[in-house]
Amino acid sequence: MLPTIWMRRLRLVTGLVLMAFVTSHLGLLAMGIASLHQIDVWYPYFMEPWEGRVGETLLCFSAFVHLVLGLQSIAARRTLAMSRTDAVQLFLALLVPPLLIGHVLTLRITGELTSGFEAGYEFILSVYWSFAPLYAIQQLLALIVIWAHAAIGFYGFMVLRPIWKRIGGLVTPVLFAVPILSLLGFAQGGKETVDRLAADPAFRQGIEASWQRVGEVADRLMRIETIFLSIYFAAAGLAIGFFLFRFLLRSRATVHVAYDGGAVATGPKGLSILELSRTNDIPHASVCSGRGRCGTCRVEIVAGAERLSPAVAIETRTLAMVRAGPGVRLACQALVLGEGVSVVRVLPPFADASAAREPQEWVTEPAPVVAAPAGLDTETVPEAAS
Amino acid sequence: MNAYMMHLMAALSEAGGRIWRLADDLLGAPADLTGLWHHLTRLVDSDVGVRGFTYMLILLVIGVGLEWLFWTYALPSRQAIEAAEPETPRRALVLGLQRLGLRFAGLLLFVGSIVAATSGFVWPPGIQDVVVTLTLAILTVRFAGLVSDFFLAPRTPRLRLLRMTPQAAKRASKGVAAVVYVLAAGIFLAELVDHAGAVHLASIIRVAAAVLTAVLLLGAIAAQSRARPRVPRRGRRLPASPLAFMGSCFVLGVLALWLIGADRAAASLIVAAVVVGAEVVLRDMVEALTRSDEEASEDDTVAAVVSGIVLRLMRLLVALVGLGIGAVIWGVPILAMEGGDSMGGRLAGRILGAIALLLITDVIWAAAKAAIDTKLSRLGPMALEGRAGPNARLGTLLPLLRKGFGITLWTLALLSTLSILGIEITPLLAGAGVIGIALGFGAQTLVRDMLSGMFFLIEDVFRVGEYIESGTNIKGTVERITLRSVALRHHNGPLYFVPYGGMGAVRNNSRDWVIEKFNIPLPHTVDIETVRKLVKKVGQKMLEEPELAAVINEPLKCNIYRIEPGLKIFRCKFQSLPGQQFTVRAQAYRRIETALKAAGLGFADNAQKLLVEHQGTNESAPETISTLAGVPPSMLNPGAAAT
Repeated sequence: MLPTIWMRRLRLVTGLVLMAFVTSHLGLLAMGIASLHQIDVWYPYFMEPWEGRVGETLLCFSAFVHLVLGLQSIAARRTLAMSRTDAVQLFLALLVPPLLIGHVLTLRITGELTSGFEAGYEFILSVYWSFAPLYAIQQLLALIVIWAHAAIGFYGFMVLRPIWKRIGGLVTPVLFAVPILSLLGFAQGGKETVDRLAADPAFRQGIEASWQRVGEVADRLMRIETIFLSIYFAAAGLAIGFFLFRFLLRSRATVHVAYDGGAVATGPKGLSILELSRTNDIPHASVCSGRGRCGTCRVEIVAGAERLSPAVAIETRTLAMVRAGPGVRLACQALVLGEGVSVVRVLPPFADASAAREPQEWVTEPAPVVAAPAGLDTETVPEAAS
Repeated sequence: MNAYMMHLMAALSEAGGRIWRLADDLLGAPADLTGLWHHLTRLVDSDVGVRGFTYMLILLVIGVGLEWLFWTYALPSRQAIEAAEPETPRRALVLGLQRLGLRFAGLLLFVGSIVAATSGFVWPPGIQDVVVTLTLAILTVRFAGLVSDFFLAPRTPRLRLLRMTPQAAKRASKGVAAVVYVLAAGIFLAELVDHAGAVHLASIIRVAAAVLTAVLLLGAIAAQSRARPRVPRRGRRLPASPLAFMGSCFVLGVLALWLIGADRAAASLIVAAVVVGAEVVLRDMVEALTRSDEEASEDDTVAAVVSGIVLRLMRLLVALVGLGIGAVIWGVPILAMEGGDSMGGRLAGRILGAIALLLITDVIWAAAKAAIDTKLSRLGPMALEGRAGPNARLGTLLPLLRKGFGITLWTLALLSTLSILGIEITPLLAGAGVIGIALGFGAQTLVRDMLSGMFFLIEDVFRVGEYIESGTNIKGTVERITLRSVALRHHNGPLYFVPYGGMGAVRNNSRDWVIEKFNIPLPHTVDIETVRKLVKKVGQKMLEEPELAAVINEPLKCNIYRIEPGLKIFRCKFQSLPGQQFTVRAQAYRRIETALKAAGLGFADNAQKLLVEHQGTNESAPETISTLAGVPPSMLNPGAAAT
């Protein structure tokens, strides 16, 4: 089995590949705002790279690996205590395959099963707007779900990079412009297609012929879809079942962790310090929400360092990156294995991504009570955070 | 059968009709449902449906995107607020308000951008209404969530405004959310369904939502009454009032009223309940806020006044809002009320005005009372070791002031209220004037007493605890001061009640200092200067004792006063605090006696020495014959001289 750090990297890279594909796909769709013709004109630039042997292999590999690693990460979860964005991202991820499989199969497999099938944007738009509008609803949902999942992941990854400071203002609008523009292109192209179907009988006949081809192989498509979905649901069920199994069979022993400022978290043995903070509603900074990337959750271990799980590669790397001193651990990686752990949060709970990008600007001294902003003046917070 | 009975019968038959219509709705709902389903599938399965859905998704992305953008900037300050540890409840309130403001800004951005973007599309017919209704539903649900979170704050206990445990807050927050969702479904979903033409189904959805809300409320009441700790009944504890039972009856009653079509009555009852509940919650909050502020800040007069005013103002606001909603529910035109023709409208307007006036009076009264009470509670003790304390006058005047102010204020308010309600108060005032004059003649003494009393107090003639002597030779310690008379405790015990009017010149024996003079008769043989010095020394010695030094202002001194045959009378004097002169004098006598004895002197005695000369004998032994006691020397001396 690969080390966790490599699995995460692989998941990230495959996710970025998939996102690049989705972006170009949706970008092409956005050309529909101008006209259907423009889609054809721009098709080679946007989609050809993905249709070559290399592109297709890369895409299939990425999709498969991302899916498997995603399910693995569900199975490896210790608790359901996570940030809201994480929960949304996870939930959306589970929805993607069932929503998308019909679209993929129709366009990739039909051509192989039967001859004379031409899957162009015109055909797809005609199907969605005229022949089977219910599929359109499904695809629209898939679009939003995939994009939201991808955008959350992309943002979470990019916001920690120093470069985000320069490109962030540019990229964030793009993250929202892509789905909006592609939806607008979809609506505009659909309108045009509907008009053309009514006005141009030859066009209509061509589309109907293709649609019939699809209808001929519908049974086989359906069978393949069923097989895929069965496998997917089995795998997802297995992952969730594995999580539940571990969750339910987890040691019933409870442990306590003392924080600076007198707070005490109580929870089952084996959770990370950050997860204990979350389940106990103790404010704790964590920009990457527990992936071990940002280092904002780091804590100084006052007592009980030997009752924490040893640091793994991700943690030591991140700690070195933020130049943490000795006796400092990442709260999201250090699992609490026994009683008597006492920690001091190094960063205040409102630390944001800049704390990960410029760690030297956030920690001026190893002050023990930074994180207890008792006399916190909220007027100064935006300045401190910006 | 009179008119009221007719009304009642009509209402009852209408209620019956309403019930039958509900049954109709129930029977018609399945058909409506299938019809709606067909309508929906037809709509979705067409380019119209796809277009509408696409546009909706675009709106969603726009709304979510803008709100996300907002939170990328605002999240750190929100997290800082949630992690803050406010020292005082007032600070917590401020932080909670800031958090509410931030979240509300996000919500506003979400809804506002969606609504604004809605106008940018060419919508297929019928879809825009759906979008607007859905947006409104989201706004309602999220806003209710924000407000509930503001008060309950289940995840941020430091910002919680209501005093409850985290578990209770979490439960309450979930309950509120459930009720809000059910109500939103009942309102907005029913409206959408209604819009699609499925009237029966919409009605059934409304009924179901109402029943479900009632069930949730009943469940909450049951949970509440079970959560209350069961105290074993012992002794003569009063049984608790059956709040849970009454609450359940109320919920069921409102539901029943609504079901039989008395929407307005049901809504009015709900508004009344909400107003009462809000009042309780506000009182609790204001109490919590001010109690800890008194500990924290020095200036508790301001705090008490502010809390009183804030509570009253909030009560006023809540009551007015409730009344306004009530007026809207009953269709009473609020603005046109005064000029309205309808009897009911005028009456309602006047009652509203009267209630507002009384509430405002209450605000003023609370402010004044709080100010005076706080001043009173901050006064020192009225009397210190028998002496009138420095605050005795305030202690007597302030309650009088409060009483007088209260009487004036409430009389004015009452008269104004009567006037607002349309009752002519001129004859009342005139009558009161006549009666006042009559009473004035009759109660001349009373009035004189009260007026003189006011001036006695204002001029600070006496205070509680002082020993005074009135012009009519009544002496005593002031024990109680009332509007008309003062109670004087004579040092022998009797309590005199002296009306101010008859007090005349007042001699106050307890002010600042007193000078005490007393004589000591010494034999004529003593040397004046020796005695003077001796007594002066005694005075200095007395000053060395702390107990005496505390009450002596000027030390004991003495000088020759008069010389009488056989006597030198010395007069001593000292200055002390009022009321202490007797102790000091006794001490002085004792010490002088001791000092005289030590110096070989003694007080002049009355022993008369008769010198009997035996004529013709050489013995001239003087012989004391008798001693006459009790006769003043001045009376004796002439006799002696004569002998």
